[in-house]
Amino acid sequence: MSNKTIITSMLTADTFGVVSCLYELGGLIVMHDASGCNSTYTTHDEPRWGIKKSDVYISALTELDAISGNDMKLIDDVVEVSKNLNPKFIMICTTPIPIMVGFDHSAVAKIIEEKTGIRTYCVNTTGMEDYTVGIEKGYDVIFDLMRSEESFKCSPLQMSDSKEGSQCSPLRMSDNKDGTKCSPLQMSDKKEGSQCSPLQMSDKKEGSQCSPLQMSDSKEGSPLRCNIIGLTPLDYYYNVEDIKLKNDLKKFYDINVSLTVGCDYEDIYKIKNANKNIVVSKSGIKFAEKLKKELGIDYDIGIFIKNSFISVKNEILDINNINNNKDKILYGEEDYDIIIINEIVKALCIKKYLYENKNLKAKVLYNYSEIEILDMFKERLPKAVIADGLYEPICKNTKFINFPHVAFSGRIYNGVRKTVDDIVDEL
Amino acid sequence: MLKKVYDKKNIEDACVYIKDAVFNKMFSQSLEYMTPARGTFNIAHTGMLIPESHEIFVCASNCLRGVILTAGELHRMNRFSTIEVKQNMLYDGSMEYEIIDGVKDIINKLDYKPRAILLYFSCLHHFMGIDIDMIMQNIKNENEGIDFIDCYMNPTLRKSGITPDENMRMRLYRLLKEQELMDNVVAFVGNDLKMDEDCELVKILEKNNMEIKEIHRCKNYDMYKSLSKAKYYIVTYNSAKKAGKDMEERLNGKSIYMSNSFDYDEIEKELGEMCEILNIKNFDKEYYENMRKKCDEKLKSLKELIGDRKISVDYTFTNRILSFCKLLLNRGFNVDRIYADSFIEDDKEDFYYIKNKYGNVKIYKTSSPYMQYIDDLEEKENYLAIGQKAAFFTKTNNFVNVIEGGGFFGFSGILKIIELMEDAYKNEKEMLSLISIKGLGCEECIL
Repeated sequence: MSNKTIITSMLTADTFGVVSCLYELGGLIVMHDASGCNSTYTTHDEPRWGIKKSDVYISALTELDAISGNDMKLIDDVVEVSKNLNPKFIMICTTPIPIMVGFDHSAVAKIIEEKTGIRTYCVNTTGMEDYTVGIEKGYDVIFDLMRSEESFKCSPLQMSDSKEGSQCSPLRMSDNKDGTKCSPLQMSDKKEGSQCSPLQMSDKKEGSQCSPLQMSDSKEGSPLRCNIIGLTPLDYYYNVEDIKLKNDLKKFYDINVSLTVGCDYEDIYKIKNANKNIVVSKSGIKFAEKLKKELGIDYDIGIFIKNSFISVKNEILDINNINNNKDKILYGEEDYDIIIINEIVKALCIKKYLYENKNLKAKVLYNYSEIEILDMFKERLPKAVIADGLYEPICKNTKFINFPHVAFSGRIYNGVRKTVDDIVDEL
Repeated sequence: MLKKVYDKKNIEDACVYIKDAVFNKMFSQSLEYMTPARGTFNIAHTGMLIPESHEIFVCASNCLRGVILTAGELHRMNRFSTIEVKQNMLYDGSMEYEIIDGVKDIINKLDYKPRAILLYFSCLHHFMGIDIDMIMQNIKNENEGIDFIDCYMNPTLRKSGITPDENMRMRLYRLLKEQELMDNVVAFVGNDLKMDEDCELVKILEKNNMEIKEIHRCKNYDMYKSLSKAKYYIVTYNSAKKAGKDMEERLNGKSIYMSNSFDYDEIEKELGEMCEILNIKNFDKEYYENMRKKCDEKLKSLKELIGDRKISVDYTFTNRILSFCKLLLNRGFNVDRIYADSFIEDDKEDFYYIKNKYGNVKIYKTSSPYMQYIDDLEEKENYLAIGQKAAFFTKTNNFVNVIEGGGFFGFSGILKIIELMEDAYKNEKEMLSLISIKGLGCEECIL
């Protein structure tokens, strides 16, 4: 894979994916970095910054601390700040220099957890992988919080270690409003009250294009509660695409939890109350799989275009079977009319819609460099390209449709505010 | 010992009364917060000031993200390329060759031939100890007709030795080669923004028929190269002092530092010293007396207008923030909050002046992790803010939107800032959207 950009941009990094995923959940999130990560993330990748408060900081790593292995500086700073801010959890995500000097993620997390009594995670983001890897790691944390909070809170050892009862504070206990104190195992055993059993859900043909309407019909009028999984401002323009997505879903579902735009820490414990997960980006698939395995909640992958739910579960399965290289994806017909470059689930949905409704064949690209894209155009020039506006300079002699992707161009196209419905109308 | 201003929240590292503070030992280091105020230049902005140049950054994607989108927001993606460091390059010995081949590949694929390429290395390379000299030599040998300069995006070093900001201002002039110096040529060095043409500094030089060179005035690369004809390098920005000294050593001219003070005596003294060094005629006493009088009158009118309205100031507005605060405080303005993590040495005297005379002025650490909450603890008051961070923290739309001194200097600079304060008092701005623009004024400075 070419690692160069000549005149275009690149996808944002794993470190920022983690932060974006966990932004609203009340944790203390520390990017272990010298400087730059905080301004980059909060400027380009986080439209909620300055609007919705979140404890996102950098460690301000120095050359001396990095070389001398002075992790205690980080530990002490995190412990001190945690005392004042009382976060729900602590997340440290790393960047290239800690990776280079062999930073001991698990030891640092353990020490901080022991000192604060607050559940602490330290994920080994490298700053060299794309953001979807980071979002997946963020979901791993959510999954762990969801599963283990109860046992963690009630661990006698941690209780005695914890200062001022922070772990089992009345606030945190009472935060769990729906009284769901049973473990994930108990939940999966529990049938009563669930709107739709895992068995019923799995009876559905996997990946079939059943619409949410059909699903709700099958429940004889009982409301279906869905979680949205894989929603971040990196893939869905904040306050534009996320609103559309939710409005579309609300026509068929009660939205249980929206992970992770428009949710808070307490929502983590409501995840289990859903009877369907709708995965809207590649980053959420692994988490949805885990929820299916642990809680029996079935999932579909897709979004709504023009009021119809477009499921791309089969296509994702296809891609997983075809692609050995997980970093980048190339999917679709060789005799394509259209090239689509965007978040993979969104792009696949557009592709499917265009084929079924406009008889246009499209090829979906993910994480291809501009050099590779230009080489592809030499082989076959598409009639149109749907991509982020920063690709436009390399898409000559073809129709270009700007579909901004925050993970690629940050806030540059803030004013464009298009949804998938607008995009398919342009063809 | 620092006095805790907010005992109830046990926040001791975000705010201190100046009477309780020791110069540049106000705050301890901790986790750092970042405001949404983005007006100041970063190293990608600064590099863009060289006309007909192209920037190539070599780093991991999380570091590249900020600079690549800096170029994007400037609409200069055509002048910006990257080589992304992948994990294997850290340990398989391929780094040097990836860079050499990468640069060659990028040059071949560009649809124009840049006159100069700024090749940015990063912390990774510093820690790896790669052979930058070998890389640069190799690249130069393979690409005749293009000048190359190595630049550095090393934030890990920002608290040890030369800062990335100082280094960048220095590298910006490293492409200049020694040539015959001309007595009547002066270069302004190291400013992000173009020097205001109405200021005394420019007026004196023009009056004495001195030719002024400045990177912002260069329409092409040849004009940039001619900066080295200047016999005098005038530096008015603290972070550019090393750039001036570096030019002095390499190009044999004379570096003159003028600290961009707001103190009348200091301004006059610095201008006088410059005239002596350049052997040119200064304005007469009457001119300065007149300017002092004008400034006083304008300040008096402004004070009458804004009364006791609280004022907040931050370090992004000017590097002589305390000199500016002293000017206002001595004329009765209600300067209440100063937002700065540290001060430059030039401000030390002013620090102790304010500490002794106006001890209840509060200093806030802008990067403190508690800064986004501290305002919740304060009484809600409507501030007049000078600078973007001050505006954000005091949540006011009445603010002066200027970074790095705005190119202003001297008495004329004071008069212009007074006008901006008056305007800010009378007219609200859309603070959040304005302060979010990166590199305020940069787009107008570059080709």
